[in-house]
This record gives sequence, structure tokens and C-alpha cells, in this order.
Amino acid sequence: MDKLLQLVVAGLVTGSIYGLIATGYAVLYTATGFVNFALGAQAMLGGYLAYVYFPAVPQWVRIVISLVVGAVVSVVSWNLLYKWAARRAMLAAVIMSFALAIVFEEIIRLSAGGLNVPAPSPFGRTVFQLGAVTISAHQLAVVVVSAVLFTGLVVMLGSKRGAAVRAMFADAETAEVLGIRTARLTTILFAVSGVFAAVAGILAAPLLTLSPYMGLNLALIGFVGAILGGLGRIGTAIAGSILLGLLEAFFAGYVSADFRTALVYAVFVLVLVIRPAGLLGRVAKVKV
Amino acid sequence: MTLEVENLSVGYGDVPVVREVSLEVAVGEAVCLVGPNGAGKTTTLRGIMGLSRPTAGAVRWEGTDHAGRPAWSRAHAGIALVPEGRHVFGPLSVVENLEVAVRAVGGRRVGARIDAAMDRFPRLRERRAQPAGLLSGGEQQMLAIARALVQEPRLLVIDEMSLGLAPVVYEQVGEAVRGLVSDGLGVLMVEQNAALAMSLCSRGYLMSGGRILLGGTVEEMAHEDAVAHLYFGAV
Repeated sequence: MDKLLQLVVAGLVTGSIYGLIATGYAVLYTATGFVNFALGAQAMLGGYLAYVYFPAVPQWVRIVISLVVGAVVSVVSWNLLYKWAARRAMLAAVIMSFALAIVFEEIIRLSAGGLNVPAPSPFGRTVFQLGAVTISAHQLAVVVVSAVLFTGLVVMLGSKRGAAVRAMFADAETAEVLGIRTARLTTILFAVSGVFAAVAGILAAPLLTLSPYMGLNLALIGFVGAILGGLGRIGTAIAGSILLGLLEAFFAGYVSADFRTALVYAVFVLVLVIRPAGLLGRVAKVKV
Repeated sequence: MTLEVENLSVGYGDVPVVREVSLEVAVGEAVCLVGPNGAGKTTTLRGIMGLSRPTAGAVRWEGTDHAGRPAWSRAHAGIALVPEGRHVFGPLSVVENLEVAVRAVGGRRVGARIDAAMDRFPRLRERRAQPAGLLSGGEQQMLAIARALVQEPRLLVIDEMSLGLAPVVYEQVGEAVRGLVSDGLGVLMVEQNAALAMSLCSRGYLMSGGRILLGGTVEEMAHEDAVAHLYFGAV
């Protein structure tokens, strides 16, 4: 029982981080049909900005910089690169996002080195003991911060002002012709996905240590979480990610910690086999 | 106030579909654009509304040429569209569909406008909290029209209203359109069903092969051989 609770905590923590990336996928996919595989690299970049660069600057300032850069990188890459490729072929834009991820990876490797860098949690090293379950301040912060962001986003989308975004999700062309400025809303959603990715990187770094290569794994696992729940809906993408985090934790705890990554990708393959149309069927038909 | 479409050409990629179309709609009149399937009516409309970028020509409305502008600019300038196939926002409730339309053009008195639309279509009031995707076809058409009307447009553009509508519902909706025109609204109707369209409009244009063949009052058009030929002669 104690072990179970401890694994639930671990699963919620990793699941929340996956969920932050998955939210980005879901938001962008629903709005544009685009799958942004650079979100993992953007998370990594967010981590480096918060922990490695500008060490003389107070950390809270670096965190703010990281969030702002996260939003800007996301918005600029869509409006300058992906959008134009997507008009001709969505797949080209998706592949382009992989290429951009590698560019980010190389920039970080060349400027900060390729070795893993430990990242001290901004929330300190306190550990709470709740009965037999231990939870660190950082783990608690991961769950709380993510929960606040998820709730905030869902509440925003459900509100009267958010109805314009939901209208765009349902039928972008009709929304536009009714006077909704869909290009502007899309830009805002890219900014949101960029901030969420940066937060994921900031929260993940103390758990994983920073490495230029952490992005790809985050990008893929976040994607698995998103499609596990359903890429076309924000709430289910978050739920799928948390489920994936829990699955991974239980598998690591009860079966084999070494094969946990294999499990994640096995889930990925299974989901794609069982309901591939949910994913690919819609990518082909969505227009920019 | 008049919508003046001048020498509008619209194509997909390098293939021109509509060539040098000119037409006019004044506020307070109903004008139809008729023609057989594939004549280029919907493409013309997409060009006017900014959903397809025109390769040439102008779409002038109240002194501004909207041809090169993004689609949303028309709604803000007082042109509302009832799209073909209705295109209501399925996951949104009936009320949300209407609210979103009012807010999209920065409209005030949201509640009053929605009330007025529901007075016009009482069925929508009964269904106000339901997701629009669950309405019947006729109810969705009413919602699509109500959604355009709550924007308080000066010009209403209606694309293929008769498609998939039961005659009774069509009659009901047509009655509403007549009332709107006498209230001073301009209406541009694109219709494959020429007889239905001409019963609602005072003037019309006939399209075929991506061009306007002729235009005139519906009485004049009813006597044109070309109309009869396009619709009945080839059969």
C-alpha cells in the first residue's frame, strides 16, 4: 500500500510534466492540425535559460526570461517557418519542427556543452513525510504548478471569451468569416504552448538533470501521452499524459525500471494500432 | 450603400474558376446569383468573403476595397454570411454560437440581440442550451441565419440555403428573409434552385462556366431563354 501511494506520487509528478508538453500538442493540433515536435527542445531550452545561462542574475528573473523566450520562440517559429510550410503540406511543417529541435539542441550543446548539468530546484530541498509517503517540495511544486496551469487553461477555454477559441477549434474557416481573428488566436495559442513547454523544462530539469538531448525524449513521451488521451481535445490529452505517467511509475515499481521507456513506446505503438484514424485521419484534412 | 464586385477573378492554384465577375447589391434589396452546379457561384462567394484570395478585381463595400483583406474584415464592416451546409459550431451550445458571433464583431447588448433572434426563431429558444451539432438540419439552418443576424449586418450573404432543407422549412426561412429585406437589409443569395431564389429576390444574375451570362430583374430573367436553356434545355 505504501509502495503503491509512493508510486502514485511519482506517476503524478512525471505525468504532470508530460501533460504540460501534451497540452501544447493538443492546443496547436486542434487549432491548426500541426504537430510541433520542437516542444521538447523548447522545454530543454527553457531549462537551460532558467538554470544555466546568466548565473549572475537572480533565478526568478531567469525563470521569467525562460517563460518569455519560450513564448517568443513558439510564436516566431510558427509565423516565420511552420505556417508557410503547412500551407503546402502539413507533413513538411511537422518534419521541419524535428529539424528545428535539432538546431536548438546543437545551439545549446555548442554554447553550454554536451554534458549533463545538475539543476537545483528553485523550491529547495525540503522533503515532506506524509505517513509512509515521502514527497519533496519540488515534486509537490510540479503537481501544484501543473494543476494550476491545466485548470487555468481549461477554465479560460470554457469561458465566454474562450468560446471564440472553441469556435475556431470546431470550424476555423467559419470562425474567420464571422469576424473572429483566427490568426491572432493561433498566435496566442502558440505562445501558451511555448510557456507550457518552458515550464515543463524548468520543472523537469531538477528531476532529470539538464542535457541538450533531453528534448527529444520529452517531445516523444509528451506526444504519446497526448495521443493516449486523444490529440484533438485538451482535457483528454492532459488525462492521457497523467495516465501514462502513472503507468510508467507502476511498471517501473512492480515490473522493471529498466524497461520503463520500452513500455512507453509499446503503449504508443498499441494506441496507434488500435485507433490510428483518430490521429492520422484528422491531420490530413485540417487546413491552415 | 452598395456592394460592388468588379471584374473579380478567383482560382485555386493556377486554375482560374471564376473570371471577371461583376455584380451589385444595394442595401434594401435581395439579389440572387443563380446557375447550375459547377457554374462558379460558391467560388465567387468565397472570393467576395475573402475565403479564397481573388487573383484580380475589387470587392467594394461602403467605400473600401476588401479584396486583399483577411476574411474577418467583412464581418466587422457589416457583411454577414450564412454558409453553405450551415457550418454551425457543433460543440458549442445554441446560445454560445450566437454569443460568439456578436462578440466577434465587437457587438454590444449581447443579450438583447440574442433575445431578438430567438423571437424570430422560437425553436432556438427551446434548444438554447443544446450543443448545436445535435439540432436538426432545419434548426441548424435557423441557427446559421440567426448567427448572421445577431451581428446586425447591413448585408446578408446566403449560400445555398435550399440544400437539404424541407420545403416547409425553406418557406419559413424565406419568409424571414423577406421581412429582413423590407427592414432595409441587403441580401445576396447564391442558389442552385433558381425558381426558389427568384421567388425571394427582386434582381438576379445568371452564372455559367465561371462567368456572369446575364443579369436583370427576376421578371426579365424569367423570360430569358438562357435561363430556361441552362436549367431545362440541356436535359
